[in-house]
Amino acid sequence: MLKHIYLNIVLKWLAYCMLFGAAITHADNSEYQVKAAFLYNLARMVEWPNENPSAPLVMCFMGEDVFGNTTEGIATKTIRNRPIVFRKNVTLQSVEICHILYISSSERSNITSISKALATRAILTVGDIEDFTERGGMVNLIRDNERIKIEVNLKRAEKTGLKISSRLLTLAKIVQ
Amino acid sequence: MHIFRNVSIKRKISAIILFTSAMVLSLASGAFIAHELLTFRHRMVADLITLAEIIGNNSSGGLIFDDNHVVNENISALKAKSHIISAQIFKTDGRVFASYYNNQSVPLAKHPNIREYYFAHKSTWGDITQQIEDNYFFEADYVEVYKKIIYDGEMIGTVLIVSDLAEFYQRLQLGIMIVISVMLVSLLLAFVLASRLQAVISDPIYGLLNIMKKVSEEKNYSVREKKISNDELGSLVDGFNNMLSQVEARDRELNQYHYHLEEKVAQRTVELAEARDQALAANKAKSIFLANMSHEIRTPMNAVLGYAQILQRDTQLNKEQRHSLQIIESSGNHLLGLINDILDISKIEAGAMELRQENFFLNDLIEAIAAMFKVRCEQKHLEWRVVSNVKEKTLVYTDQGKLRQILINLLGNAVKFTEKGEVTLRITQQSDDPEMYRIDIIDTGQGIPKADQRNIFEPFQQEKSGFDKGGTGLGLAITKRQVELMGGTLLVESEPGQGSCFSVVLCLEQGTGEVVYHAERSQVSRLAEGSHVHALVVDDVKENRDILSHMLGDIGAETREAVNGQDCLDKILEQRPDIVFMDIRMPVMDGMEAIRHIKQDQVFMEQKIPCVAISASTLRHQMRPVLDAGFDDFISKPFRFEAVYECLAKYLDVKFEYNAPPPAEETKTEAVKAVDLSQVKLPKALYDHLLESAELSDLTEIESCLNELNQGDAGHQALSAALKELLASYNMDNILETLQKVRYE
Repeated sequence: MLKHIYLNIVLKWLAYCMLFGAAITHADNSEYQVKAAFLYNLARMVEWPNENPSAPLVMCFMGEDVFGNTTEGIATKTIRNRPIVFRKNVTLQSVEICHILYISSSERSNITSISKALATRAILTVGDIEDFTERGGMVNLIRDNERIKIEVNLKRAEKTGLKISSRLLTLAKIVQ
Repeated sequence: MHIFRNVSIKRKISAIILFTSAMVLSLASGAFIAHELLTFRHRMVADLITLAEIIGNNSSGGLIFDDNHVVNENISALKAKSHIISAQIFKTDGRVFASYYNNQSVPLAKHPNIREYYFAHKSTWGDITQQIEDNYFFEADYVEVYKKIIYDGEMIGTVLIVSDLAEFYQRLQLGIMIVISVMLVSLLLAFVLASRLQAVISDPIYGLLNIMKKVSEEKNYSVREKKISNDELGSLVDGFNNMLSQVEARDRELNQYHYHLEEKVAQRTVELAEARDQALAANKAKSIFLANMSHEIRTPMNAVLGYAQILQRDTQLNKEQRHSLQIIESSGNHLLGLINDILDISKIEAGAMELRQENFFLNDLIEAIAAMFKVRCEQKHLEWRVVSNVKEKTLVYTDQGKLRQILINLLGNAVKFTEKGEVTLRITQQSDDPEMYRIDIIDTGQGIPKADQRNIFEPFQQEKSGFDKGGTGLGLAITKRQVELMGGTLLVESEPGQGSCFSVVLCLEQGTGEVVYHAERSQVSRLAEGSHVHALVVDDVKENRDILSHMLGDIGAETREAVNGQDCLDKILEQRPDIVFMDIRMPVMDGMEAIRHIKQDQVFMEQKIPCVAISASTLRHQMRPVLDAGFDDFISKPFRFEAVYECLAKYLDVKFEYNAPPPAEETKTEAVKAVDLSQVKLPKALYDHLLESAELSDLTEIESCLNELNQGDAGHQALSAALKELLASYNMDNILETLQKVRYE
């Protein structure tokens, strides 16, 4: 019970931090604009198996909505002539239709289990926390000063049938 | 070009080949090199484009994710290509995303914005779209390649690679060097080949040239050039050979003709020689004939004149007798004159007339002639004038006889052909050359038409009026030739109706020495006291001997006679004569042989007897040998007594007594004056008859005419009487003149 309360407080604090962080990050809106662009560009550089060329590309967001309206920036773009559809606040149960799944830092602790659950699904998991790829995520967006770097767990991605363009790979740090 | 024109064929052909080769080679090489370089350029650009594409591809990730770190690293790999000066990647907004610069060079992209850079190129000025497209631009030292980076159909950036052109220029240099060396080698080869191969053209030409030279030099037209080829040169050779054949043929023809001509000429020469010989023979025959004739005629003439002279010496003749003798003498002289004229002309034509020059006073001759013609002019009622600037006592050395003859002839003509007016004798001694004289005989007679002016000087030519006036027609011919013999010229100036002027221009040498006066016949009566002459007269003809003996006897000389040369020699031996007068033509021994003996044989030589030849032959070729043979002198038959007297005086130093001259001849023509002939009219038939008879000197016919005339009226009778007087003195000239004055119906 205490642990539960502790956890609760911590979670709340975390949430507060995240909110604060989000607020910070909201104040630092450009970061998520850039990350949105990254998401878009990532999508461009990845190929899903059994692609339906006319079906829209679904970008899902799990956890805290850190992007906010920055996704508007890429809403009108197309990826290989496929329009983009956003799904915010998705749950595990509804990830099936996702092509890309962004897991925000609020779900940090769940990343491993989520990743395991999606181990066979061709869904590109993208995060922006430090050990995202260690926890099972596929692509990690790391902030390096003013820049955002990419970390990719290639094997994991390829295991699900996702093909990642070499252009991205040359850029990214590849982790195991 | 002018210089090239005169260069030899060899050089020309070689030069042409070389030039063509060079041109062709240059063109080919040039094209090849150009192609090479273009290809290289394309390849270079293609390479650069590929490079740009690769870089672009590799950088597209970085561009998308805005990560230029990796991209820079990528680009710097271009270091490996040393010709890349710089490479840059620009974002879509034109700003530099990543760049690489070759260590050695200065960054070229001064403009941070690619758009400015791109559109600075000239070739993009017209680009209205203002979009950066894939392009490349060549500048002097570098080339820029622009390549769009496209991802997913979307342009995400631009790559710009700048490369230097070093390799290009290197290649160009190399290319040029290769071309040049190849050209040089090829040209050398071409030169060598050309030098050899030009012979194909030029050798036949030189061959032809040599043959031509040879033909010209040796004049050998039988050579021919060999035909080697069947082309134009072959045709040339053919043409040349053809020409030579023609020339050869002509040459041969010419030679034949030449030879033939020479033959013809030789033939003609022979023919001409024959003709000439014939002519000469004929001429000689004529001369001999004339000489003979003259001798034949002169000999009896000698008798006639001689005896006439002898008889006239008789101072006891009555008037009629003297008159008769005078007629005989004048007729004889007239006849002699005719014969002399004929002889003279043939002498002159035979070139046999000689000048006998002597010293005499010119004025004496002029006075004598003037006196003679004064009378004659008065007879015809003509004015007589003498104009002379000859200085007194002017002594000349020339042929007096001929000069006298000339003057008498010309003056005689002047008087003959002038009916009224005057006759002038003008003698001008030139002031600048005192030996040159001009003698003008001017009359106011009927004149001579220009057409006749040349003919009158030809022998036997008488133009109509001369024919009418009588004479032999030889006078002017003789005169002209005599003038020319004396080295002068005879000219005539005349217009019909305006009289005539005959001019003689000649040179009379100044005389030196003494003047020999001819003894006047009538003056010598006999040898002076104390002068004694013993003469030997040698002639085969009795009459001739008689005359001379008689004449000599008359003046008191002693004479003996011999009949021929031998006889002469004998007579000389019998008794030495003081002088010998010998004829040439005698039988047994002629005068030539006799004189040889007289002058060469010892027995005669020492006697030193002067010998004078008396002969009717007066031709030069007869006289000279006579004198050369040894005769001391020469007297021509019929002879004047004076000649004999002169010889006596010259060789025997004798003196003479002189007589008063016998009474002068009465001028018979006075009777004619009394008759006013303008009133007399004769019937035409009679007139013509009379005229013709007078011209022909037919005495009988004239007499019968005169008898007929005497039947007429008083005027006719008077005329008849007058003419009879003239007839009596055998004065044909005056008869004719008188007749001219008479009218007829």
